[in-house]
Amino acid sequence: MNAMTKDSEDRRSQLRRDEADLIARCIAGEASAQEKLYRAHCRPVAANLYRVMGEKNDLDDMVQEVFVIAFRGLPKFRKEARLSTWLYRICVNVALGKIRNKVRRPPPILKADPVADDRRHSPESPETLLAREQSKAKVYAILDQMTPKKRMVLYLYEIEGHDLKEIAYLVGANPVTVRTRLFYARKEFYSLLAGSPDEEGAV
Amino acid sequence: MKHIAPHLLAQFSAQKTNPKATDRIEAHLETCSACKHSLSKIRIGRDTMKEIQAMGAPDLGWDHIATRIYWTTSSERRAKSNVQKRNWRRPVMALAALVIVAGVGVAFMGGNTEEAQGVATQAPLPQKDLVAADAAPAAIQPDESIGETIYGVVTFMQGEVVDGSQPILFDQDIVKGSHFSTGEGSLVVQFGKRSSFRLAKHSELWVRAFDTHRIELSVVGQVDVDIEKRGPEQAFVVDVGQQSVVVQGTAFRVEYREGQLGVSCTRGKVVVTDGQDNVHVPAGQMFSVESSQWDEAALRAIEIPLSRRSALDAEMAMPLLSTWGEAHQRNLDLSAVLEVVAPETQTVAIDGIRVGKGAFWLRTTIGRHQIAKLQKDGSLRDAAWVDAQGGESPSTVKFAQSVGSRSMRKVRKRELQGAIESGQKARRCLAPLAKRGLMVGSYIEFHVGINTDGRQRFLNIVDSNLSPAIQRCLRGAVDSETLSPGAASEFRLKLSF
Repeated sequence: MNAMTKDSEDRRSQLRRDEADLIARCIAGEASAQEKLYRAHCRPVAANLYRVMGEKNDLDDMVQEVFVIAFRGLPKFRKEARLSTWLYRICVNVALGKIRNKVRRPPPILKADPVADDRRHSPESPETLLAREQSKAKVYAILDQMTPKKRMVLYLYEIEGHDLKEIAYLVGANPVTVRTRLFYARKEFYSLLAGSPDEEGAV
Repeated sequence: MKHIAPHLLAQFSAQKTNPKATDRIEAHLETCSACKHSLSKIRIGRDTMKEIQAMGAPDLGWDHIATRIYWTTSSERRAKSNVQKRNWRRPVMALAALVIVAGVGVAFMGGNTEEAQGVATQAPLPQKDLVAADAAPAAIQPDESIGETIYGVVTFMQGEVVDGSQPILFDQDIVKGSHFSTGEGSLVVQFGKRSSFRLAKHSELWVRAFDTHRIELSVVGQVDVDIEKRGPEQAFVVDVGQQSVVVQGTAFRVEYREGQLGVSCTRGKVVVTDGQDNVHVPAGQMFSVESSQWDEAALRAIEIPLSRRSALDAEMAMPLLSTWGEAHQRNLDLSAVLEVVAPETQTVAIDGIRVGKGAFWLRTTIGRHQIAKLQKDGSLRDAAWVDAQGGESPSTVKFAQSVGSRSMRKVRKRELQGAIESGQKARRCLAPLAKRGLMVGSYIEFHVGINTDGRQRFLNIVDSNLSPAIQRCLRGAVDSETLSPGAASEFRLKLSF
């Protein structure tokens, strides 16, 4: 058991060393290192952004923006957090910017979105799939009605399952502020989700 | 009847309410169908959120994004490096500033006509150009109560320069009585921490006085002078024919050829005088006159054209020893001579500072210096380290002539381009891009060196907007090409798609 723990610790420290080496090479402007970093993190980054935004429109632009910001900021990366966490933080900020812009801009013309393979071969009936899609659309429609800051803390807490301290790091705010913001965000979100404006009070 | 707040229902659904609240909510839900309905909606919503949490990345054009990221970051890097490249000019300007700063706040000689008159010369006007100028301008009789002797050091020398009839030795002292002639070359002498003069080509200079009280130079041809601020008792005079140029702390150029006198001042102020009339030439102004027409001419300085000013500043920048000290021997001991041999038209920069063209000698501080070819666009190429060591023999750096004539470069370039285009390898590299319709506007530029046997001496990617993987592939494709034996050459090859 101890040997297993030691093994996993060794592996972890090796990973950390590899990551530090990769970062150093990226800072030195080594294109192959940058490509390696991109290939290792592009899918998680895209997934994060996709989950926050709920749509594929401009997703490639956002992924690009995240990595461009990351490569610019790597020399300032202080390694207090893992690289993936730091990238996640950039994703949050890029998404926040996008949400703010979205409020100001008219909705984009949607592009035809072919059904992904996994859904095409799903054992579920088309009706069930449709119901799920509608449910997702409803959640995102409610999120769209919220202010960007509230939306982000709610998303990070309720969907991503982060705790207050993590959210505070990701959004760059005080944990107390995050707690207050989250309280109002949850109140607003579930009110809209439940859709019964007459309920008031509390037990 | 009060309903349960939805966020509390959500907490209840997530089993995060305390036991007391859980009991109350359960009791309420048994009797309230509206809250039950809300709870079911919230449960569906929460299930959906779990699904959202499990959502992976959709399929995106990963390579396309990688290319765009690479393009953006590499353009930024290039822009940055261009800024850095431009920054090499700063040392040049700093060098110029080092020289110029000496005259800032200088007490001008404007009202000091007494001194100006004191240096009025009766020297005969040389009618011949320098080479035959045996009849040097007569020395102004220097004040016999001379100050301490000044020793100058040659810091730059190029081409044909002689002291009297002897070639100048790099470590010889420049003192009163020195006499220099230049053919196609030029010479820079430093004689204080920030004071120097440059004798341009086809010029002649006599050092009439060289001490702490008085420096007097007689010139036929062109001399650029840059002197630090001098005390009121320290005269600096340049005699040119029947006129003299009197200064205190300033940078200026005097050109005197075939009786035509021109004075341009870039810093401080100079007074041109024939002993009776004075012409004040402040910074940014120039004055020219036919020496023999002095009495009839309009004695007035005019503005130096803006377009000429910066060029003049750059031309007048002179290499200085930063380790200059009071002890003359120390200046020689703490410096070393570099001999640079480059093609005649090739400008050479040392430590990023433009120093000279072709072959020249430079006195510089002992230690390691970076030496490189300066391109027309301001970039540096073929940089190398050179260790300047004290001692009698200079450290030599040689730059080879560029390989291959222009026409041969064209031929070799065309050969290689043809080989690449007729082959399939490059096409295969671009297939992923072509498939996505992203090929238009893509390019890659190589720096290629070809040996006489047709094989490549080196192959570097200079610029591209393609992804690193495609760049590597294309480099491999170009690398595999071998040309027929012929002239060695070196060129840049840009492939646009």
